Amino acid sequence: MRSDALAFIVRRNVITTVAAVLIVLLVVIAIVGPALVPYDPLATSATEVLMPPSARHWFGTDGLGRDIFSRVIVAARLDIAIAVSAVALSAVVGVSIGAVSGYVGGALDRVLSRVVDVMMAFPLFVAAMALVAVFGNSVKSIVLATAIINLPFYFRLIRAEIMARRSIGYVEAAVITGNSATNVIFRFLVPNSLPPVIVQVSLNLGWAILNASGLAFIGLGVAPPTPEWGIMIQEGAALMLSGEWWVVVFPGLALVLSVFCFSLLGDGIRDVIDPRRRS
Amino acid sequence: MASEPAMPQPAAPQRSTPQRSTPLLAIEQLTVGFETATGTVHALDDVSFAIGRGECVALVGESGSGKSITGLAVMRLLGRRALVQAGRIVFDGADLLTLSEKAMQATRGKRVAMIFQNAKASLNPIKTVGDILVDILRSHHHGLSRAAARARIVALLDRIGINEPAERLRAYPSELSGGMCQRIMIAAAFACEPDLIIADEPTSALDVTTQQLVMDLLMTLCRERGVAAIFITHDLALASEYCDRAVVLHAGQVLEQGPVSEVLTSPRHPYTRMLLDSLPYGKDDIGQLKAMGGGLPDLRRNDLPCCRFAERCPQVEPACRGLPLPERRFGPTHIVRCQHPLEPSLAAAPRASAARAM
Amino acid sequence: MRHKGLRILLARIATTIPILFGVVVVTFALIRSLPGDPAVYYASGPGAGPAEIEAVRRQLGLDRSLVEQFWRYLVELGSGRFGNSLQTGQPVLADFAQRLPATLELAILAFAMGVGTAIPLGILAAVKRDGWIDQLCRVLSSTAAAMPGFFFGLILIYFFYFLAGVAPEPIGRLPGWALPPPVVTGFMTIDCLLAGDVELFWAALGKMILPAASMAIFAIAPLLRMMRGGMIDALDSDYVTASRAFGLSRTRVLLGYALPNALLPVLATMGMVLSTMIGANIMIEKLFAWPGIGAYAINALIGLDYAPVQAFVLIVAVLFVLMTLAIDLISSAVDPRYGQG
Repeated sequence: MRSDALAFIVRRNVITTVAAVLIVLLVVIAIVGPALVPYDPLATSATEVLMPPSARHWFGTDGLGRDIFSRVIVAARLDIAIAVSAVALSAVVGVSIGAVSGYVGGALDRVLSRVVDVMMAFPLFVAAMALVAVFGNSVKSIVLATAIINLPFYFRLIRAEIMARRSIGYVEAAVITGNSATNVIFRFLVPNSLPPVIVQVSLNLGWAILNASGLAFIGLGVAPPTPEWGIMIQEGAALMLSGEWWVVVFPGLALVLSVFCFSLLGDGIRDVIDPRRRS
Repeated sequence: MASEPAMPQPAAPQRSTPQRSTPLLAIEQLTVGFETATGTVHALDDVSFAIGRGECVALVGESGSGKSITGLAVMRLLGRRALVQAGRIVFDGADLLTLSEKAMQATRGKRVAMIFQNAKASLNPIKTVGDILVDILRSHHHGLSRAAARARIVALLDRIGINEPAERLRAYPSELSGGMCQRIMIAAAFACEPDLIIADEPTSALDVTTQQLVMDLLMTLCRERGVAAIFITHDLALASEYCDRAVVLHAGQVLEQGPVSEVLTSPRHPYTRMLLDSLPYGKDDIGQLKAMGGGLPDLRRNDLPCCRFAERCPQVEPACRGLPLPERRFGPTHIVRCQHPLEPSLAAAPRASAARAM
Repeated sequence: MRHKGLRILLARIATTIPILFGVVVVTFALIRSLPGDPAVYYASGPGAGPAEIEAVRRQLGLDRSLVEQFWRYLVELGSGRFGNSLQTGQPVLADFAQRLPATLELAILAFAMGVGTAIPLGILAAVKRDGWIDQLCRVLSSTAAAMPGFFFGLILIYFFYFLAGVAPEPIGRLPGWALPPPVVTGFMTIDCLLAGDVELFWAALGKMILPAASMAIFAIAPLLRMMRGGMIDALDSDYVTASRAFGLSRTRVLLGYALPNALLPVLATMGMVLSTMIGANIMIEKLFAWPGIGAYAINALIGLDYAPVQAFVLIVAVLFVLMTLAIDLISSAVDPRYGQG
């Protein structure tokens, strides 16, 4: 049954499969990459400053003589860890609150919905900035901020699903046979409402990477000399004016490629789960 | 009840027999395919039938049999994936398929009008009904002012018995009922005084009482004004009640055509027989009611049998798969395309319209 | 009909009020939870001594109850006092007033570039479905969706400034040699024209092209996808077929029937696009050293200068809520079914 479904997905969409394979590769790089890189990503070298890409330094070196290839690989771990933990946190908390709110209804639901409306009133990046300001300038803050600004999407998504399903037969049967509310919500309703959440998660991951690197680019969250794609681009920005393109281009390409794969995978999963909205 | 099947007998005796020599519309050997990602859909295969002036022809068959595609083909609105592989559509002496786009555009609405199943969805949701009708009228009467067009439409709606027409015209389609939208579409169709109206399941989306109202309106207008009609439906009772002739389509092939009094009373094609047997009208008990056997074949297949009904037919034999459909005449206009037409069996044939009155 | 429209209008505005109130509560909470002492950033400047800060603390009522503090905060906002910036030593509102035109000028051009690219391409892609334009659009929107504007901006700088040399130095609003025209509107291009300096107008416009294009890339993907999808839905709709069947010309049906309907989903995503554009604005202003409110706010945040930060968050959120309201009102004016489920 499960392998059938997998075969169906693969047959259906070659691009999605390629994206999925690339993502697996990316995750493997994030896990084992730091142990395999040829140079210490933090090691500076006064003699090898701003070397263009060569056999010795595949992606060249930056203004402090650090090996860009090593830094790009090591940065994958940080960027993906930020994105995954932020989206996971957001999805778990958002789904839980949204499910309870949608099921219980009444005053609780009204209050929570209002709160979410207010959260949505802040442009995402501005809200992230403000939250980083409150939590302090650290990686942990970026994760928290990214998670919080995404909560409303999961809340609304699951709430709508739950409200639509609350009066369906199998749910009413579960209630009548004496299941507790917690049981009904988390054992009957939530599992059946998960497909759109999965779509949202997969589309969200790429966005979270963009968001984190954007914050790092403007100087929030990650501090130099930590290798991170956004901050590497920021460090190389001025060098673009004098033509040392490799400092920016390689971390930039890593960023674009990983976001690209996540969004392709997201689109593919949506196509499989919700064929009506096929793009 | 018992009518002579061999005699061509118009359902509406007050009307003259259509002149078969110069039909208003003649579809000749029309073959249409659609290109899709999974292959070519052979939607229409060698479809031929004709309509005289003022005549009303029912196009019947299951969903997916190519009824709507035939209608859209006449309008030349099949879309960009469609490919007319063969045939002609001769309207008033000219082949519509070779007409310039400009001339075709002048034909649509003005000479051949079409109304659709879902009237509400056929009206632009963000315009008022009045604006839509004015647009239609003015696209055929250049120089007609908006106010004059509006006045004409109000008068027309009033004449066909729609209350407070001016009020209706200010409404958006979403604010009107499906039946009201369809009556307005009918008004729009007649506003340009066409010679032919193609009505594609005009009442299928409506409830039964409204259905009657809308059909009566449509057919009264057709008869009064001598407008010919192609009435596309899967409802044999409606077809026999309102139409002169019936054309039975199956999987893109015309299998039987002729006066409704013959085709829907004593069918000569096993498929027509099967359609009638699946109807509840005139059956004494449920045992007489038969479900349709099988389904339409997948029209993407390249190995479709010559008779596409062969795979469902109780009387099938090798010739059906391999030989082109023969054309057998059982009267001036009663044509059956079958290797082994049925013998007339008067007793067993219930008349759908008679049953309906019960 | 008209009075119904008015009722909808009032209802929409009414739902906005609690949200605006919530926004104010959140920014109030933001000030209380920011590290540091609010009295410091409401004081006159970095030179303020402990006595002055103590005076400000009392003046701000930071020793009172939270409710009373909130009330005072509202009064302060009502009288336009957002505190002073530590870095510029000026009232925040004055700093904003000075920088907002630069932001708006850039944002408007960027928005125009984004819409001007995405809308026609989306329409073409839908009309010529699966044609080469459609394929190109698919590649473009997928790439744009994955492309952070700050990276795109740097690529543009490399090609057009460093390699081709056609773009001006990507810093600020005017070339280094130029004296700015007298400030009338704050929009550099307009001020140049008002001063009668056409050459400077072109220079100012030239400075805007790269940052505006970098900002526009954020808007292109969602707009292009929505436009294409909306147009395809509209072209496949019954009312388009029916209108054609009634003899309306292809152009008339395309522009008068399909397009307005296809723009509705585009309008509906506009809120999301605006939100993204505001974020893009901050990053791009930072990258191009553009003297607007985005760069100002981020510099304040990095410099732990919180009065501008909270003012920025508040003002931008209020603007965003109002823009969302405007989108809502336009949608309900155009679409009679809007908001009825």
